[in-house]
Amino acid sequence: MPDRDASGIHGLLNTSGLSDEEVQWLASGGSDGPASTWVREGGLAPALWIALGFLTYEVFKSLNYLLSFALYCISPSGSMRSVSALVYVVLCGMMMVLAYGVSSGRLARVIEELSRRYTQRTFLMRDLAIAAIIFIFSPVVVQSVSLYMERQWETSLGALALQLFLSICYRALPWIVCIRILGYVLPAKMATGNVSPAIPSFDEDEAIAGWRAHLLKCEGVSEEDALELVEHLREEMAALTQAGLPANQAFAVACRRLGPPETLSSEYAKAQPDVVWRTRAQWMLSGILATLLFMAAKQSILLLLFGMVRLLHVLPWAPTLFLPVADILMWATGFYLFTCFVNGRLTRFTGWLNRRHSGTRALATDLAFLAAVIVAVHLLYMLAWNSGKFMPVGSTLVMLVNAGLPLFVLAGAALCWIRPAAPSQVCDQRPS
Amino acid sequence: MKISKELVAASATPLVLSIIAQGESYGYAIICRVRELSHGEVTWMDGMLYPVLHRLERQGLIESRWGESETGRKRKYYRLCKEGSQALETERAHWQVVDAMLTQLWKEKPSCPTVMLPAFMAC
Repeated sequence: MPDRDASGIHGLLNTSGLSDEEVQWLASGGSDGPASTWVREGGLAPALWIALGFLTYEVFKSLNYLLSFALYCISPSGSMRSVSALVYVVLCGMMMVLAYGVSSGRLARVIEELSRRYTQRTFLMRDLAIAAIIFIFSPVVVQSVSLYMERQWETSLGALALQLFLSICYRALPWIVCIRILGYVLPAKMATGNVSPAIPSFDEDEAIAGWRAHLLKCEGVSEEDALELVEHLREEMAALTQAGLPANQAFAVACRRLGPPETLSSEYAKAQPDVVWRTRAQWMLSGILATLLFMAAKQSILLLLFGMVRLLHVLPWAPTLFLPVADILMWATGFYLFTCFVNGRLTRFTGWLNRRHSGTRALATDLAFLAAVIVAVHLLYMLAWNSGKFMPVGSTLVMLVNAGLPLFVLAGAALCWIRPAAPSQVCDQRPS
Repeated sequence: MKISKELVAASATPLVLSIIAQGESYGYAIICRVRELSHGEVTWMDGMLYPVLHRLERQGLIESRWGESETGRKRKYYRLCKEGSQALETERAHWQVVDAMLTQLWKEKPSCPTVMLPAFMAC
């Protein structure tokens, strides 16, 4: 069969302008050898940067805990919450420096070096697993030491063991799910077109739409660039089809002539590095903001549940077991939603969000509103814990700092600042 | 004969500027013109043209506009700017120097290298 296909294709050589190499390529079934590394194929998906932003937040949280505890040990006179708030503010500053470094491309060399190191997905997974073990267990060890120092071991060993176990689960769940999602996202498959001799049912528009979607997942390629490339692809296909090549083969050859989306993406990125780094930082900041929002939402639901449990005077063991379980269930829901985003099941919602936030002012207004909601939720939380009495202003501020409000405000401001310009009107129009 | 990637990359800017200097054009037409001029000897990965065009546009050498193709679809056209014409002149001068040097070198007959023989072997 391949010989017959090859002879058919060879017959087209003189008429369709195919090179010898292209004829051989078509005759071999359109295979270009093994797939490339994850860095080239899937390392460009926004989901990767959101997940990395999320993991950055997890590292940030663990570092905050460890540093606060270290400072508290050095100077036990200060309250743990105040020390933690101080460390939080310092870490916020460091995060902003990091965001600036990423958005301005000053850390480009470091990240390129890392990309070179992680040419194989397994290396990245191994290092992330090591980081996960460090950042999950070190706070738990510190927590154990802290409990020992407070001599809580004497009260109930079983309750403390349960507390530590839940603490491990609570810290491990985000890492496990994020690593799982990265494993799912990274080996993104390339849309290589079927190059079998002729497919009567080949849908040209569908194939082009798939190619365009894959291209848009690569960073550095804007809607406008994709539109221009799609137009090129269509013209190339029209020329090849006119010369006698079946539509599916014309599509495959045209795609091959244009080049793999990953190569195109890296070339576009070289041509406009500032835009690419801004987009990466934008996704990371979005990841951090989404995490903080999720935490606030989670806390308000837990507050509601806690209030119900207290009001009903049932389930005396609820605060020990019921709430952590509810917490873990909500984490699972959050990750399910993230998986939906990765799979493209939230396109209607993300499309609406994009349209709504086409201007920086709308984004800033919404972020300010959400910050106000976070403050309100935490004030309610404090009231609930403090039996309806307001806490002193200093303690309230410390609580709000610990609730991540400064990080939310700073990350939001940075997002408004580095946001790329809204695409021009022409990009919204799909080719007819 | 395949021309090396390095030479293709080096000649991309003057080639693109020269083609656009002949009149407003768009990506696919530029690629076709390159294929036609080189009789298939210069092979670009088609998609690589666009980052080059965008780089030239950012440098202010060319400018673009969205127009309509014969089929009614959107198409991006590029035309040369004043700075682009100057840059093309500079490129032309540079390539002419290189061309003159190589032409002169290849016109000269290659002479045998002079070997210094010891005195007793010279006669």
